[in-house]
Amino acid sequence: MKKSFGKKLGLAMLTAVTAIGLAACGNSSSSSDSNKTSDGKQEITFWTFNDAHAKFWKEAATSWNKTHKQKIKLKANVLPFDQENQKLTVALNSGTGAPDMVDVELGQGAIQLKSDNPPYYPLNSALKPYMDVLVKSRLDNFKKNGNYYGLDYHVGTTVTYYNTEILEKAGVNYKDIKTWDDYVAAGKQVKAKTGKWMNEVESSALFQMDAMIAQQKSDYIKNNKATLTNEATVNALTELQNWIYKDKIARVAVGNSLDNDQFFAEMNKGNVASVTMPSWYMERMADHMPKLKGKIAIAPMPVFKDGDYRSAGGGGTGTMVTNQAANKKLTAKFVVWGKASKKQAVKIWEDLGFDPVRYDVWKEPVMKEDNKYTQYFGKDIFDTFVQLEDQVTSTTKTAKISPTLNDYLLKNTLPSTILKDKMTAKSALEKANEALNK
Amino acid sequence: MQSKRKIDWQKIAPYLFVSPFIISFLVFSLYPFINAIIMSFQQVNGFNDAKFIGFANYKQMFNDGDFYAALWNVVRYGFWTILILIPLPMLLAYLMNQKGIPFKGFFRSVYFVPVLTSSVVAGLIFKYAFSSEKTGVFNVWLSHIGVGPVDWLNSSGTAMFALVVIAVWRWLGVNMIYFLSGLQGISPELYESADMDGANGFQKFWYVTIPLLKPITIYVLTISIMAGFSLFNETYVYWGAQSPNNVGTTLVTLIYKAAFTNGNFGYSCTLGVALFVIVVVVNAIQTRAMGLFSDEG
Repeated sequence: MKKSFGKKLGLAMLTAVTAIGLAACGNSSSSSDSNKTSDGKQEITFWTFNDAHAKFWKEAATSWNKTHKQKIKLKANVLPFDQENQKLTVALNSGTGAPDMVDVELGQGAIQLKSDNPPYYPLNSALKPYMDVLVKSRLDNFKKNGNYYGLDYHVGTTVTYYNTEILEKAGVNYKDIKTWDDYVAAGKQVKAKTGKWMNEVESSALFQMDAMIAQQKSDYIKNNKATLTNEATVNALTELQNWIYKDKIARVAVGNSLDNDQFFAEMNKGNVASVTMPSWYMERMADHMPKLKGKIAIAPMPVFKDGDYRSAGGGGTGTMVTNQAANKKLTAKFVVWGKASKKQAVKIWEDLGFDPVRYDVWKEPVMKEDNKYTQYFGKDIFDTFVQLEDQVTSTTKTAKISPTLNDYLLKNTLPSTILKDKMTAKSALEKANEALNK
Repeated sequence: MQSKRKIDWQKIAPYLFVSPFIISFLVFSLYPFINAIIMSFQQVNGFNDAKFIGFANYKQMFNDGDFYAALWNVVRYGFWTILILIPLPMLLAYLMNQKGIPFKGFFRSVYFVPVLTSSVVAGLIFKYAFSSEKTGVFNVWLSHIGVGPVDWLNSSGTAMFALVVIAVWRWLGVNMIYFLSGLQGISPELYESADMDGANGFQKFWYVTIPLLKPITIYVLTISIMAGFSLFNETYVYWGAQSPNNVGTTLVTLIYKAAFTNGNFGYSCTLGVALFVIVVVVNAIQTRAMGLFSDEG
């Protein structure tokens, strides 16, 4: 008798555990409707792939609560980059389980905005009061059918970072470098006198090439068709290829890009005299290249010809509001306020080291105040950026064809022109164009 | 009338005990599997927007150069890993099983440790070791014989080498354990009688050990083939989703890329179905060839 009772109890417990276990699987996302905490705060969940961003938004919520009637409780969740994208894609596809607001990198955003009904809430009305002070080209990156679905952290003003110590040894003054021809001449001098590389070229990323195309006011996508054979694109890739194989002032980047640990070490050791990268590269330098502190000068990009832009926009991560957000309107307001209000824009610079999308603060004296970036690069960083504010355009990253084009260039075109000198830039681009427009 | 239909717990209990597995299998394996087959015939346009397009995805796959490159990569990878990862662990296990070998326990654990590390962490370490720089571990070794530096991860042959090295490092110990357990199941009398027949060490290994290890060998071969076809983590750590001229593209890379880089879930499922069919066919051929289902089996 006793024994069979024990057995029944055991079975009952087992069933209960199974039931709870399975119920838990389905339950985690049924929280959509209002989501208010007991003290009336709106709970907002946020996913990002960057620790610093999570901290930034948590502090933003605290300052929001000081000045707004509807209080917010922010729950931030930091996931590795790939994992965030996978989870987000699945959650958005299945219609449940997505956060209220989320950081989406530009390339990933392109994929999600491919749909005619993007799974995001438009920020248009929240953006309205700030439209005049935001850099428009950065908004366009996340625009679809007249709606703005994301707001970037930064402009990504592309500049050239010079290692002045190497240049001085070679007798080069970076201020004299106006065109890419000047740059190559200086590079030869650097190579001859110091044995150092003037630059290293990406074979698995497109930051350099994109910037050089955008600065010629051109693009490689038009009406969702690849236009890789245009003059500007051919110029840019030819220039990069020549640096390695003709002028011999550069080599293929260690680790195949300028944004990886191996290259950081290479640059930090003082083996490379310059790189041309977006503003967020300041953070990479300050964090990963401590030896170069005080030796790096920031200057506008050299140009191909008169009238070219001396900068471009590169990279980017937008904060978006998903269509599953509990309180979409409030979340949208919070996201825009968090980046576009004056105080917050300054915080983006102070805390994250980015050039904020709200550009009227670039001229404020507060941008020269002491922080880890002004200590590293000097106080006049934004004096350079301000000159370039109206020159920051980018190549298209959000067309339907963008992911495929990106994939093709990295897989085929760069390996046969940059990694190995197998084809001329022109014929490699012609081949790519044909394959992509098939 | 005895039948006051009492619940017969004796009979129900086993089903209850396996129910957690059965239910989670149905929900998390069978349902997605069937759904993937359905989706492989669809064009999935982003979100809640799918339409049936017949065999278009399959047509795209057969015209996709990347698909054949990936298939060729995993076949080569499978070939090399099997060529190394069956004889070598078998030999090691044989040695580990001999009497009088010192520090057996120590060596067994040393060989086994790599599999406990995460494949991503291991991949990162090997990525740096295979650096194109003169200071990369493998280039330093090569420099002693006056070769290099080699740009390991950017050309096809050396890239495959880098993948096989990490696989051997990682799986040697596991396969050794499998063979070791097989060896311990071989009765010592067989060796004794071989001794009486005057067999030498090699003959004993060749005529007694290898035939009796056949079931284990088949098992190891099967999982090696499956592991080869599902290769992904290591290549993703080495190159990400795009490798130069597809030197590191595998079928799973393509599945991943179709879904998460290009947002093309239908095509991604098509590739998944293709991978499934390929693995089933290869395993069927292999088991048939090894005589697993024959009467002697």
